[in-house]
Amino acid sequence: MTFTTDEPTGILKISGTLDIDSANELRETLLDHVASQPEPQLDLSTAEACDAAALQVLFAAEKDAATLGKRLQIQSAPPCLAQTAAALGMVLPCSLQTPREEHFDAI
Amino acid sequence: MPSNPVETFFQEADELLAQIETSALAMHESTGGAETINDVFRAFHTIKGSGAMFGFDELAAFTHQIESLLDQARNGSVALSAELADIVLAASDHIKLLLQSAQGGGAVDGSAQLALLARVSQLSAGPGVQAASTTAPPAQAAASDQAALQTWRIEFHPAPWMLSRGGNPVLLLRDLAKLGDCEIQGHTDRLPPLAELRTEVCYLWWRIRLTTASDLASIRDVFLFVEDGSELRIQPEAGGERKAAPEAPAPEKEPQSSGGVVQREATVRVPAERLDRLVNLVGELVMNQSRLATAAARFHAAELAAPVEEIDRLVAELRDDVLQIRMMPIGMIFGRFRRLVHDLSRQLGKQIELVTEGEETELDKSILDQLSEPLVHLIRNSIDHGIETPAERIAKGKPEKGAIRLIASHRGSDVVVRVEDDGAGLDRNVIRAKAVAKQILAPDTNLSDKELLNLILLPGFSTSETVTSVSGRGVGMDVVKRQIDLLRGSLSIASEPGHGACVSLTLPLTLAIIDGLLVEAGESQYIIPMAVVTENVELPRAERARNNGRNLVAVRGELLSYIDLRECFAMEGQGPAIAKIVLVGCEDRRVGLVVDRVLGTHQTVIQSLGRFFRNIEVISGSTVMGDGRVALILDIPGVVRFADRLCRNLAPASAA
Repeated sequence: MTFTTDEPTGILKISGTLDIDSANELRETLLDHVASQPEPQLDLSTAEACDAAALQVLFAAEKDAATLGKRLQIQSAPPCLAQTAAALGMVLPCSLQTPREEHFDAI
Repeated sequence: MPSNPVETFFQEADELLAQIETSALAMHESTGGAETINDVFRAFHTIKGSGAMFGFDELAAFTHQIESLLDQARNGSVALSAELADIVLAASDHIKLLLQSAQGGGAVDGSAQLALLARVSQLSAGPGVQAASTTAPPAQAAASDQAALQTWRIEFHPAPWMLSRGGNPVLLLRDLAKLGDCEIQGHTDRLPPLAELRTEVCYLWWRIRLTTASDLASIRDVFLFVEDGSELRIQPEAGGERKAAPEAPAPEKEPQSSGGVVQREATVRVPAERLDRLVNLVGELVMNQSRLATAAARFHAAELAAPVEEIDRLVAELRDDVLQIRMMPIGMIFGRFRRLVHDLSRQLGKQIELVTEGEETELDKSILDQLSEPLVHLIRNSIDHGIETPAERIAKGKPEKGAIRLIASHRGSDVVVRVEDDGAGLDRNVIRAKAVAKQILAPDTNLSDKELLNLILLPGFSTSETVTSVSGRGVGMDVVKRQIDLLRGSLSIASEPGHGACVSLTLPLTLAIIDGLLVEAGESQYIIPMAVVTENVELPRAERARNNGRNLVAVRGELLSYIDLRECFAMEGQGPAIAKIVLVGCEDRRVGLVVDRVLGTHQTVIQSLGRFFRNIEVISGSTVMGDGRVALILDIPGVVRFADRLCRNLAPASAA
């Protein structure tokens, strides 16, 4: 898993597999990103897979942002991420690509 | 947590196979109902799933076939029958072979597996299937229709460790969704802030609404591998009952309204070696506590008295708790004998029922481990030589089916295990004739009934006319006796000719730490297990007598033989004018042990003598005293046998 921050926009791009093995590294990076960015945004377009362990880190980051009065957004995510979230009965944080109706259709 | 999950799988598979065997035997005796089939199905299902998880694909594939047949039995399309029970037993045996092969044992016979699977296919597709479907009760017929859908509310809080142990909620929920229309709500309210979040812990939980034709058992099966430590509630949705009128009685399998919280007993699986190490450490603690108490008494240090007393109390409590951990119910080994009786009685054309009592009676695991073999031999003897054939039994006016009873109970600080049968019993005339023929007994020797029966405990003694594959070689009863002696137990035989026989094994509860009586003879100290001590009396030298080579003393009018430990161990010099005689029970008789002094009771941690000294028949172990000296623990049956030989002037076996 790799992290790249786009300096002008502050968007954090995460590539690779988001799973239990990389979940702690994801947690530390998001902790820092949510704290430092006024509008924390994630680009997950090049993420290859995501499991429940990594997904709960994303949701925890969304809650952290809300606590700080911010809104975590995911600019883009591959279908596999949305499908994983849907299978778990959840919606990716502030995702523009997975409206609730689509969630039930996925099941 | 086990260091090797595969080892845990093998242990759990063994336990599941034991359960399957018990259930299959119940099916054979038609004492198992629908719940038995369910239990067997779930056991095979678990073995399949766990086997697949660890890569044992052949095992998983084979078990899947059996599971499918049992699923048909569950839903009534295959009738419960002796053939089904036989297949389950055979499948369980075959899985044992596959497991052994997976652990480095030999390759498994592929043709045997194919033959068994052919039987499975035949039963699965046989006429029983059609007959069952035409006689299906109306509710079952209705159940196959679309109208029999049920809506369930499920709440699932997984165990915190679910993710770290490889559990995948995505796959689990997808499996659940295959059962029917599924609305899933995931909850994240338990997520802590990122700074506190532990990524290996599962904080998510779910509420699910499932509309399905599957029953409660099928829904629960989805959560089978993640139930441990989880909270799972499955309840029918109110107002969501079956649309089809359920005229037929509710299915026997599981009441549909029984959804509730699935609770698991909190247990920990601990390797036996760690328990043994813990017992050894406690033993060391006991010995050093004894040394501390001795030293504190010697120095008369008042400020040490209270803490030493407290340590004494705590160590005693720790000792009892640790020994209790090792206690296991004897029912653990009783179960495996049912299969033995089933197979052997079929082999010999006899009908025999095994009845067990006292399965909950507990004793030390190390004793339990060594008790199985002697009990197997006793049961085999009963089946082969005791219980008659059905025709013989009817001719004698007995029930066609013979019975073997295994009864365990506590008696004081011992456990008594009895193996009783209602067979032909022991023929005294045959025993005497055999003993005379083997020149063990002179023809005119008078023996008590007990002494006569005990002749069968001699090596090579068998009254069987023939040697069968089951028994008869005469290498058994003496080995049984020796094994019981090694366990510091005793064996007695009772028999009523024509009515049956009973072998009673008396065993200590534990081998690790015993209460002993500390005695002194000459410069040496010895421990006599308190379990066999009945009383102490004084023995003035003038009251000693000798008759026919035996030392005798009158105790309250009863003439008892005694063994002088000084004589026994060839000590020089005479003892005190007034010695002590410790009366002990040994094989239903009382014997006295003459010692110089009785020093009191002693919490004795048993230390092995090591392999060089383990064949000394009069000593069973040693212990370290508070002052660092070693006291030898007397093996009372061994001492009595040795003394008997001395008295009879037979070729002396060395005490060493």
